[in-house]
Amino acid sequence: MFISLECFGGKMSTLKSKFIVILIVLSLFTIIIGKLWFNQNSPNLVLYFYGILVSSVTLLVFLITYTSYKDPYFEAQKIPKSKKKNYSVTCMVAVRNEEIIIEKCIQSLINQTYKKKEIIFVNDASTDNTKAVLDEYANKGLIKVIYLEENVGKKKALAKAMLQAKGEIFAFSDSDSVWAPDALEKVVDVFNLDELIGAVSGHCRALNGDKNLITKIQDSWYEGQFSIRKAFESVFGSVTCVSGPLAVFRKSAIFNYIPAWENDKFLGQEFKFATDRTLTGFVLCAKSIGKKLKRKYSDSPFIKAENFPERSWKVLYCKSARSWTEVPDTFRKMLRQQIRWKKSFIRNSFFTGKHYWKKPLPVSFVYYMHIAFVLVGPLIAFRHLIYLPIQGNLFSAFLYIAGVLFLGFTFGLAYKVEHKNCHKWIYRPLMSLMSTMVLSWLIFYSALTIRNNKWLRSNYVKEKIVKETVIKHKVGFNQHFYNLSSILKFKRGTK
Amino acid sequence: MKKIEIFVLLLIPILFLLILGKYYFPETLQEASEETKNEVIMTTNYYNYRTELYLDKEQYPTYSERNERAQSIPVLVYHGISNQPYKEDTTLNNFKEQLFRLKKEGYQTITLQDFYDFVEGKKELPEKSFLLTFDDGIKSSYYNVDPILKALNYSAVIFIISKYSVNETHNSVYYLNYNEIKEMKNTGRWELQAHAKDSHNLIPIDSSGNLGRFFSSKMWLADQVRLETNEEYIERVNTEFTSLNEDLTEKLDQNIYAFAFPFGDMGEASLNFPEAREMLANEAVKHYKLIFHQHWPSKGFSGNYPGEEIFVRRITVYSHWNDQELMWVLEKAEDKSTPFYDDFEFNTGWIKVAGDVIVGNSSLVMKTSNITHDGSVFLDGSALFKDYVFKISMKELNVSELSLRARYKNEYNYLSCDFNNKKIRIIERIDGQRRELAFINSPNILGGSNKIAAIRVKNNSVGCLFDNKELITTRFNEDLINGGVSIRISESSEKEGVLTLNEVNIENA
Repeated sequence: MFISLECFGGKMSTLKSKFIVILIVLSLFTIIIGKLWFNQNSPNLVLYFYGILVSSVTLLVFLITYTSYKDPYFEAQKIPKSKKKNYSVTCMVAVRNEEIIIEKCIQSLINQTYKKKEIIFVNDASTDNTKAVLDEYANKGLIKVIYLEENVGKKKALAKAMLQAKGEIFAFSDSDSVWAPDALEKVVDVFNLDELIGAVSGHCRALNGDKNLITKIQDSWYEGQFSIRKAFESVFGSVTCVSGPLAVFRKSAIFNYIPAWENDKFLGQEFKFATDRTLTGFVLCAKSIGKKLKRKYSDSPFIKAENFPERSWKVLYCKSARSWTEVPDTFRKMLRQQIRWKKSFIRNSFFTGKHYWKKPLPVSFVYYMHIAFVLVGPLIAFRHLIYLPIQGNLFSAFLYIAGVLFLGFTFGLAYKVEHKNCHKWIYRPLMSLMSTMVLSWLIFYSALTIRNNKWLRSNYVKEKIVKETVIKHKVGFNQHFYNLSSILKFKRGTK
Repeated sequence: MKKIEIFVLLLIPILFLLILGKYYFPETLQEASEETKNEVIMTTNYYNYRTELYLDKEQYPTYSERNERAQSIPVLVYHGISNQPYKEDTTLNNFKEQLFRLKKEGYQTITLQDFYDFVEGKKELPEKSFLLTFDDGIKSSYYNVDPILKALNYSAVIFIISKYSVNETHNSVYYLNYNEIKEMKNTGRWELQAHAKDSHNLIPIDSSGNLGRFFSSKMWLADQVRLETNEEYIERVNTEFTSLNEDLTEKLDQNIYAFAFPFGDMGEASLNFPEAREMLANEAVKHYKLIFHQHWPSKGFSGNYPGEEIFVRRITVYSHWNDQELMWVLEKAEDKSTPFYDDFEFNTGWIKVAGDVIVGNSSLVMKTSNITHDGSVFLDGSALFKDYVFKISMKELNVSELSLRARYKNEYNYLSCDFNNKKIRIIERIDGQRRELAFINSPNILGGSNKIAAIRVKNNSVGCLFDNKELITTRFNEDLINGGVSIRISESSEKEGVLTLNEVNIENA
């Protein structure tokens, strides 16, 4: 559709894919055995257990995903039509200064096959041509637009939209993302499975995934993050992050917590990132913290309007609901995005982390292990890549890199299984390498600068590029979406 | 599937095997990786050296077209060549500079067989030939040196310790192992000969547990509370030689005919057994055709001459020498010819044996040592001088005895004119046996300034001259058919004896 088709679908035959998956699982298993029994002269206990745990967690995630994850959409299709509810949906997007990309975003929402929906855009005091584009569609009656005089940020902007939303289901997108035409239909259908499903995350890939090495690497990484990691969490109904590009919530699961969400504070300061992570956190932890939060904001219109019961919501991931988002196309921009994500991760570890242990053991074990790895990983990397080589042990660094690459390849192969005609899986190990060498270290920088949570973007650069792209843009508005997105050279801030 | 995908797919099992190796066979993997690493480093270094040679626009002299024949051949000895100086190791940078300099100056290594034929007098070699040797068989003397040898087209002899280097089960981090030894042999650039089996380790030499060197000491037999007898010593030494040779011959599949004494010590540094030197030499010659030891000045000239005994003097390249210092040593050792004149502008080859010697600024100053009360010096590269008058002009002579020596081989073989205030004597010394051939009385001849002393040798007659007057002459044994020149001073009182020379003149007689 939007991107080259060979990297979109095309699953391998069941036999072949099963064979590859078994191979991955066996190889990880062999490595764990080796680490357990043949590596007991390891210099210290921390290293010994770290080594075993990293492989074990990966193995666990693979094993459970491949044996237990079933796309909830296909499950939902088994339900007879008569028993399904016809949910009304409100799609909401906050936008600020996105005059080029916003049009495709609007169109992708309008073109959804799911009909019982309203679309609300919040113009967060854009200073460019965004308003005109929104007006054009609003005048045709296709979308509703809320205009804000003052720039309030993504959370507060969306909160404004939610007050006016009439749907039972809230679907959020990012202003730099697009949905597959049937995405909404599939996700909404999932809510029929169980009254307790509070939120569903769609699948997301890079919109500009063919542009250059950086975007190719990220695209291959996105696939694994969703179809392996989120799928694993989904097996236990405990997806920790319903991702921004296609995030769908039951109104009753979040509505009462919006005041807490839009006023999120961390270390005594307003915390602007982690929009999707924190919102998911409210759904996951409603039973634990719901009452307290409702009391705290009892005079807010969100709580006065209707009091929804706190329930043990499930959060699922729907693999077949596809969306695409622009990913940073330079290393610099990628670093900035990663820093933002790391800050969100830290903030959310203190929020969701407090209550996540109540979830089923495998998923909470992996969750807390993941937090531990993020903190210890850079130190282990330092030991193998800097400290030991200085001591003259280059070989150890070499083996460590081999291990990192191998882990990357296991995810790469999982990608290949899903997309047999696509070669982008070969970039996946580079993400592992980049993550070990550079990105993992950002956790410390992020922790130190966590109070500084402004969206980093240079208006000067942006305006300059906008001018350039507008000219290109006029050449053919209707050209391939991918081409359009790939000429956008700047980072859109809403993730 | 794209080609790159297939390539990457192949990479996965390799990575997997590597990780398996890390946990299941860490030692094998470590060894294999060390080998690969060393190979990569050596190859890289080799190409670096080649590039350096190529970029050096200077024309290197070609060795094979040289017409001049070598009269003597110097032998250099190194131990390890490492990046961090350790013990007597030379730094890699110094070593590289030295060998590149040698190449530039036209020097060329020779094989051990050629060297043997040369000292046997069976073969002539071009001048500036030299033999490069390494002691102990240290890893660094292979890994750091081989690329240089390959680039310069040089070869070397390495004396190895069989206990460490041809023992399949022994894998030292310092000494070469058996695999490496075989590898070296296959390059064709390395000749392997014997250094030691157990004799590189020390032995107990007395009841209090002091240790001494294997060859130059008698062993303390603790269970019998005595030192070993001469017979036991000889047996011990012979066992060492025999088993060493057996080990090497079997494992290397080659003839072992050269031996380098551990620590270069042929018994000279004995702690409890002064007779070791002679006894050891007698035993060693039964096993080897060439026996290498370290050169020091009292042993005579730096080079090795045809027709000499089988003991080979080697120049120890000290770890602090740079290329220029090595060149000075080699230039001093170069063979000279008569007539020879020296006004001491710089040192053309005067080598101190005892006392203090300063050469330069148009003078040679000798001072007696305050322990032995004597001082001596010889002219390196003068070994083949035959019939000549060796004349010295003295600016200052303040000693109780002055000896001028001719047909000098070393401190144990020479003819000498001894001048003192009572007598002038002609002394012959052969293998350390001193014999007075003639004397005359000469009261108060020494003292004062601007004197000239000389010794004349022709065929087998020798004469002593003072202030150009031949005062005494005699005939001598025919053993000393050629030899160089040397000066010795001694002082009988407690004060320091000083001799200052303006010039030396060696004329044909």
